[in-house]
Amino acid sequence: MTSRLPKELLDELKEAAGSAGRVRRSEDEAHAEVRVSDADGIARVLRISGRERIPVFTRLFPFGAVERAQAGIRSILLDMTAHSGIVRYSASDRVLTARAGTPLADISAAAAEHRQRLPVDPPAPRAMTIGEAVAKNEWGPLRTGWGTLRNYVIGCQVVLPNGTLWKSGGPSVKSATGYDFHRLQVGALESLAVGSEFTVRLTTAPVVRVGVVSHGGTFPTMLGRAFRVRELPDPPAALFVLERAGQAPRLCTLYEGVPAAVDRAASRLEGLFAGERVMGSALDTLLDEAREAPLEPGFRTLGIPGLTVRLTCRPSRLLDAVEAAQRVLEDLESPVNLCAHPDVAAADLWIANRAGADSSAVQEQVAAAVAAAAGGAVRLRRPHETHGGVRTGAPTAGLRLLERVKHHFDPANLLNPGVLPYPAAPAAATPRAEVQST
Amino acid sequence: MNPATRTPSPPRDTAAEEIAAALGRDSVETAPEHLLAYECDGLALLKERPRMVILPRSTDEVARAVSILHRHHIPIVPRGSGTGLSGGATPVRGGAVVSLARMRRLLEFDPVDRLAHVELGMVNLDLTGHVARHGLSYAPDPSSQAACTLGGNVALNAGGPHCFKHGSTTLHVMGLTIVLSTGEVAEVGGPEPDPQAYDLRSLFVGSEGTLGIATEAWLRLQPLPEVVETILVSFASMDAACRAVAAIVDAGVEPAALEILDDRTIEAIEASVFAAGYPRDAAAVLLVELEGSDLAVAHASGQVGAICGALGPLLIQASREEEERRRLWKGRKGAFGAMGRVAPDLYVMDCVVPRSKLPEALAGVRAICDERRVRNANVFHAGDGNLHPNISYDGRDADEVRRVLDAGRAIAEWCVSLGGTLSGEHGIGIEKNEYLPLVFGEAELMGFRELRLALDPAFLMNPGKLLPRRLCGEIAVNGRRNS
Repeated sequence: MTSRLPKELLDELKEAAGSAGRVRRSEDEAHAEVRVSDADGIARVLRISGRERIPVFTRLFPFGAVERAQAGIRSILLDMTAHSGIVRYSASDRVLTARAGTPLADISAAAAEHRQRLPVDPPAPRAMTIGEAVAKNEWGPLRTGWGTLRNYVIGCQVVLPNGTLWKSGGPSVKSATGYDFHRLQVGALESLAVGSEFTVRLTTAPVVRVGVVSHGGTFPTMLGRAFRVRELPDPPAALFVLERAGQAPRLCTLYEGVPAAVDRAASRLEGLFAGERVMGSALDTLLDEAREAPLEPGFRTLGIPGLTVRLTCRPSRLLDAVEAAQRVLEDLESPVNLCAHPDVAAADLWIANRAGADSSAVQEQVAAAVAAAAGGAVRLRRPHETHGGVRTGAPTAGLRLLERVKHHFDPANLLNPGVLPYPAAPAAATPRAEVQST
Repeated sequence: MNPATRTPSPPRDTAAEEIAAALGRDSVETAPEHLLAYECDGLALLKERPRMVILPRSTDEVARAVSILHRHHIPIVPRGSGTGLSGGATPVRGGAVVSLARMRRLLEFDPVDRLAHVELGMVNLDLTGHVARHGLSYAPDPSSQAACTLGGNVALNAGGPHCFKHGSTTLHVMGLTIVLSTGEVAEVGGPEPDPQAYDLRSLFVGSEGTLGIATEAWLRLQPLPEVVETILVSFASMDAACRAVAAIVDAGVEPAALEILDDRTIEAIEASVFAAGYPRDAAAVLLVELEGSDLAVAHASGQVGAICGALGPLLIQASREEEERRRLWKGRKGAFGAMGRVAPDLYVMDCVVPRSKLPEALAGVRAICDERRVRNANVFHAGDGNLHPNISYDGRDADEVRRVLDAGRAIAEWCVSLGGTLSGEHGIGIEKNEYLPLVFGEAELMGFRELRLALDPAFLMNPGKLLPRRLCGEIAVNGRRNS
């Protein structure tokens, strides 16, 4: 039976969204899409959600729908994409604060005026917002040299499920003041709190960038070469092996820095493995290919749904992990594409899912194969799905700890529910200490 | 002997006896003379004797001891080497100090994966000692790295000079083994690059032992750079040194370290065994460390030389020779030790300000100390805006101690007013827990408290730390002032 959202509730949500906001109801009248443009709007919507016990799903990506909402079960889709803009930017301190719905491209543009950048390069930067990137711990090829958003998020303002505004960290580039909640937000899929603003530290933009692409060898050969590149004195900014179905694998290495050093590093590599230099727009295209191809094969062009898994393991186990995953995916009778980042110890494998295989089941199979072969972990990687989900097998002390943290922040499990595979645990029964009044 | 004159035996400590039975008698200390060394850490302004000290040899022993302590409702205070500077290891509520001093094993070292799995009683510098021959290093390098443990580094999210480029401890921890307040053991993260679901590593690193005891860690190692060059520049004014730092960063140079020492620090160093040949007539010495490929370092060195040269330096010295570089760093690394010549006690503060506010911040620090008639010297991580105002004092002088504490509070308030924060790498501990309302509102503080209660409902883990006392549970904070 469909549970409708009553008109009074929609009116209340409209008021919460404010004059710049917007509210739409789904056809089955069970879901409301609420677009907010400020932290106060987020807080008001979350308070309504808590009071009415209606789950909230956040949207931080301007296209594609969050598919978690279940037909006939009431939910609120909190659209954050209008909550955007750079709040503060101190170029001299290399620190920038932006609202969650700010596209990464806007941050890049502002920083570039001062020869600075946020050296994290997830896919679709024009659409990808800082909030989305933080929520999903999105990254791209630059992770090899520059790490993830965890390295750069130094503060945040969030709205807790009960509507309380909370901050962690701040503009200080170094801090040991209080619990680090801002890094806990990275990869938490907005299931502990809704990020409203994020403060990031920036770095200096490189003077030059040169890519070197090497051909000629199988995937294992190329991966072996990548490990040799890793041992060279010039640390690469990006290092990946890209293998598209039907094409020979390519080893791609990116060097960044000052011209003389970059030129020497590229020459050294060319001397080792005959390669070709790639610069300018050709380099951008290559990096885009590594970033974006796994996301949506056929999504725009053929309308064929893609299925992408991201696996992580220890670097030395990467080949075993990739081969184990390949064996599972090949059973789906679809050519397997892959992009492996050996220094990160991660790889994306994707297929055009023509057979319409159940993605969760595939994930389970790949995860089991990878775990057996390399002790690694696997998650689904679909660009417009808010949740990756965790598959960890039987409950462990670590998992119980995750549940306690989730339960602490969101006891009713209303905020982007479904991240953890088990329902949130009740608080421990141990008597709690009382607050001392002074 | 007349029974009336016999010294009464102390009451039996059943918890200590249970732990001794579980771990071995040599793993528990209760004799007052043995407990003396555990009254405080590097912050000697506040002391309290623990009820017992436990010295486990493994995670399993920590878990068994903690489980017994939990059953007896005894506060649990984790401790590494006791080099912390915010009182994080001071047992302000008595209880049991759990020392990781015997847990120093390198459990696994994988040079290909650039990972080390260690017990957290290992001394920071020992890890680099183990891995250096494979061309690797562990980046966080607090000044106390020859003595401090990796566990203490994890608890406080420790930094050090080279964290300007490489980041603080939290960025180098991939996984932790945690003993929770009940004795349950949980793994958080691991050798894979990304944790599943929530990144609890971030929550535990810097939590000052209030959420559990981290006993083991997977740590990320990094390759040693091809070339390292250290540049010493001395200036006739602190302002010029600070402007040099800003200009170096603005120019896009990415040094590994950017450190400044002021005139009083130079004076103390040059009169001590840590003398490094710093020019005694300088108002400030700037140490710049560059690392990378030889060409990249040569380019950056040229930039630093040009920038500093334009600011009228008294002296510029640059070296890539290991011995000479060691000499240039000797004074910086020994700065806190050198202060021992100035007065019997030293209060090492830790605050952060935006890098652009450094000159203003330092002028304010000096004025605050002058007003209170306490002697201040400064040595700090200029690239991060991480100040270490040092105040030399005599702990036997109650009035001076009062003035030192007053100056500490004023400095904290001043730095926060400039847009900074209370600590960059020493943590909050008992030193600054009452200052937290300067940076957090009531909602955040209550949230911190609730988070802590969610993981430690009985508030046994390192009570009295990290939160203002009014939020620290029902047991009053004891401790006596060192006066």
